[in-house]
Amino acid sequence: MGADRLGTAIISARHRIRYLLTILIVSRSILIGSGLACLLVGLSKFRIIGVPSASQVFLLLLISVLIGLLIVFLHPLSNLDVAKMLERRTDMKERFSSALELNAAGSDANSAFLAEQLSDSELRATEVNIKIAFPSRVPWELPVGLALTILIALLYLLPNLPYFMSPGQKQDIADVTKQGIAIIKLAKATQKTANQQKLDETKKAAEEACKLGEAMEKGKLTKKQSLIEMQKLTQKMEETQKKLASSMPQKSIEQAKTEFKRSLDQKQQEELAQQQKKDSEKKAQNSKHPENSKKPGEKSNPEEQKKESIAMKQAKQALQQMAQALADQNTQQMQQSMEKIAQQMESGQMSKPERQQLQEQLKQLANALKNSNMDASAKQLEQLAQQMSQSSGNMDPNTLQQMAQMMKNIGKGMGKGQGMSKAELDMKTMGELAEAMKNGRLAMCMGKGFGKPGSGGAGAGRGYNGSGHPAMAMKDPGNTNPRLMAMAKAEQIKAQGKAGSAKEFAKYLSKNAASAKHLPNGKIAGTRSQNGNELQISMTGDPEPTKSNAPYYQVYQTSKRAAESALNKENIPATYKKQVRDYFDSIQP
Amino acid sequence: MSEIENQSAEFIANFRRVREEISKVIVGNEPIVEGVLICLIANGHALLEGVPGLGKTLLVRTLSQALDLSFSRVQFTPDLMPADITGTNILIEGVGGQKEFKFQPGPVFAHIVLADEINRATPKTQSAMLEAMQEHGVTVAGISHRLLEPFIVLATQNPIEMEGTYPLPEAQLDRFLFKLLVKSPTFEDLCAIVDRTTGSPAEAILPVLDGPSILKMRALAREVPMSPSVREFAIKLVLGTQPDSEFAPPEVKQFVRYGSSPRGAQAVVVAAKIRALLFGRYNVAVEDIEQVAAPALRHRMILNFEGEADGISADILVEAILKRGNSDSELKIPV
Repeated sequence: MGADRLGTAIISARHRIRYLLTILIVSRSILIGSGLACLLVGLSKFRIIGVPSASQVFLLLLISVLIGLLIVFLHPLSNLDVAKMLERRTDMKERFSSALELNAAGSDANSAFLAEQLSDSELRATEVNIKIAFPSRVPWELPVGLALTILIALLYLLPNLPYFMSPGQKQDIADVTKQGIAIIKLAKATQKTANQQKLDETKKAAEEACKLGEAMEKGKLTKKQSLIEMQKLTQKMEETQKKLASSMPQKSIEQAKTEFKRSLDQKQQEELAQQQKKDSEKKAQNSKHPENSKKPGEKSNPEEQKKESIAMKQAKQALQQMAQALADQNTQQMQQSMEKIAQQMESGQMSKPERQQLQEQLKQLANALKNSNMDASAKQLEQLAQQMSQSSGNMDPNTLQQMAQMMKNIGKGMGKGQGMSKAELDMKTMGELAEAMKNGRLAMCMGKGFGKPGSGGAGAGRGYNGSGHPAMAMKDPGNTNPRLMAMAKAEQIKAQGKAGSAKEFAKYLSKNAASAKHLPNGKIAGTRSQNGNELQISMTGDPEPTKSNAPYYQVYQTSKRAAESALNKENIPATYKKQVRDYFDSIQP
Repeated sequence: MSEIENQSAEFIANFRRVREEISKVIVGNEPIVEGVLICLIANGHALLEGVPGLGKTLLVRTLSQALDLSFSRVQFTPDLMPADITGTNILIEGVGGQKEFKFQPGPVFAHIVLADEINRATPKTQSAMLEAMQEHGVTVAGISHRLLEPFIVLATQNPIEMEGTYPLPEAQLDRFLFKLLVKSPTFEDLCAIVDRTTGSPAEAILPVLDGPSILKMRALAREVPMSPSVREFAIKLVLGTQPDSEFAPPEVKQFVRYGSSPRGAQAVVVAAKIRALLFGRYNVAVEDIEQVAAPALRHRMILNFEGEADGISADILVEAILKRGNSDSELKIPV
């Protein structure tokens, strides 16, 4: 019973000490945390460090409080320590600690004096009032720490309250919300497409974009944060695109189509040239020897010639259709074209030179499709062309039928195969999403929002070496005074090396192009795409100097492919296309 | 009430009775009276130091009157011989005319011995007290003679250096449990002294405590338990007087040549136990150690030349050691 009284007093004292210790240490932690937060905010005001976010400040405070709690609960507090503290507070002159120590030592446990000492300490323990011994006091650190915390909170909260916001800030929030809604809309549409076509990477990217859009819509992100997040997401998408590109076949279907069409055109031109040459020679001979214009006994069967030309014409038409089908990536049309050619072949109406011509064209088609995702069909076509070449002398109906069947099978194979590989489609769809994000980001940077013009800034934007506020929109980026560029020319760092910089491109064009209309400083007209109006960006002056993150040789193929794709999509004069192609050839690693 | 409680109560009552009897004659100087009584109960000896006329001798004489014990006084002078203290064999002629040597006990053969102005005797004579103080016996002509129990030597000395004085050797000093510094009376005390000594004769002192009671009190005091942490504090305190010790504060390292011997620790602990009992406790507290530290240690520290030259007092050093000990034992819990 007696032992319990001292033990109970010590337990109560320990709880009380822990409680007071918690108040004290947590108060100190709050003071230290808020002090550090103030220091960080102060340093950021002097631009020594970046402005810490509210969540960072909150995290700092939370960590400091947690460390404080950890210190409290890890602080060793033995019974002896508690007894010593208690007897010092209650002027008990080592009664409690002696009782504990002597009891624990146990050597003189039976001595009368020890028993008396223990009973005395028990008796005294009942007289002790723990709350009086350890009065609860508010440490000075607590109000000071709380005041600093409130100060920090006000520093972060007040500017976010609409009452304290400047019109510019309000506009920024509206822009971010609008941008968020637009991103959600775009992401959902992309997500739908990705779900339909089972495009995993695009789906993931769309989901992330959707999350970002929602955060922006709810106002969780500031304009700066939104821009950074959008930039990060765009970068991520581009990296995924690169990965997908590296896993794709060396040649795209579009390239195959271009090659095939080019070879067809070339052939057509050659034929035309040959025909013209023949005609001119014939005319010359006729003028010299009119009597030889028609030799007696000479085989002249215009109807037969006409028939053969119809079969060949149809075959040629089918080949043209094939080129178009490749351009459209329409597998059904490819199959139909191959079937048409097979029918013409099977009809037996083709003459030997025509069959040779067809064989050559099929070989060209095989060459064009080589290394694309229709590589298997290309090999089959090559085999067919070889077989045609071998059996050119013996074209009985059976052989023709066999070849026609082979051709049909190739057509079927083309029909079954996807026109564009899944990865390619994935890359394309994601590219569109990334492009839209990029445009949105740019629009937001310019203060335009989504299609809405900016409200005007204090001066020229930062990218133009002006002194305007970086968060404010430029008045008229298209008409920026070129003098500003000239002023800062010497200090500006330009992109270097074979990174395809604007300077390099301009240098190339000045050497090779006839006109200087296509300098990067010129305006490029926007186009109308399937998704509606695309954003038109006016570029004036050199682009902002940036650092290349990927090695040149890694991005070369992707850039070339992108350029090729753009050239094929847009209505660009052939000479300009050639210039671009030559440029890429000249910088090939 | 338990037996220990009864014994403790009796202990306190006896102590108070003696103190009250002494206070009939001695005005003020309570710590000195208390110190002398502690020395008596602790089986130790006390050295009283003070300028002439402060009532040192009167205190001892009054104490002897209050106790039912034999008392002898030795006035130490330069020509005092050891045999004058211990006693000697003298030739005695018997009834039948035969002659024999018979030991004639000296003044040391008493319960309470007042060694007045002990530093006036030569070191040879002073040393005659060594065996008596430590062994409670004297050896004369090869024969040991036991002294009476309880036995206590109360020595007085004048602090002012004078011609013809011989400072007590360290070995001699070490045998005193306490060195008590008798201070000049305060205004009120002096008024009371004047009133008492210049008026009607003082009240007679009655013996209130006998030898066996003192021996019983001694036995009881030694039973008081001491917790390891308090004992540790006492040991660190004594070790702190030694300049080479890790527990010594900078002042001790600077000004002390030699620190306390183990007798110092014994003195501190025994005195603290008595003090604990006097305050009605059954355990020794740090406060008891602190209170007895100065009288028990001040004469056991030998200052070096720098300390002597700077006029450093041993009490300041003891204070520094206590301060250091307290800060070491203080709990680092900021509530």
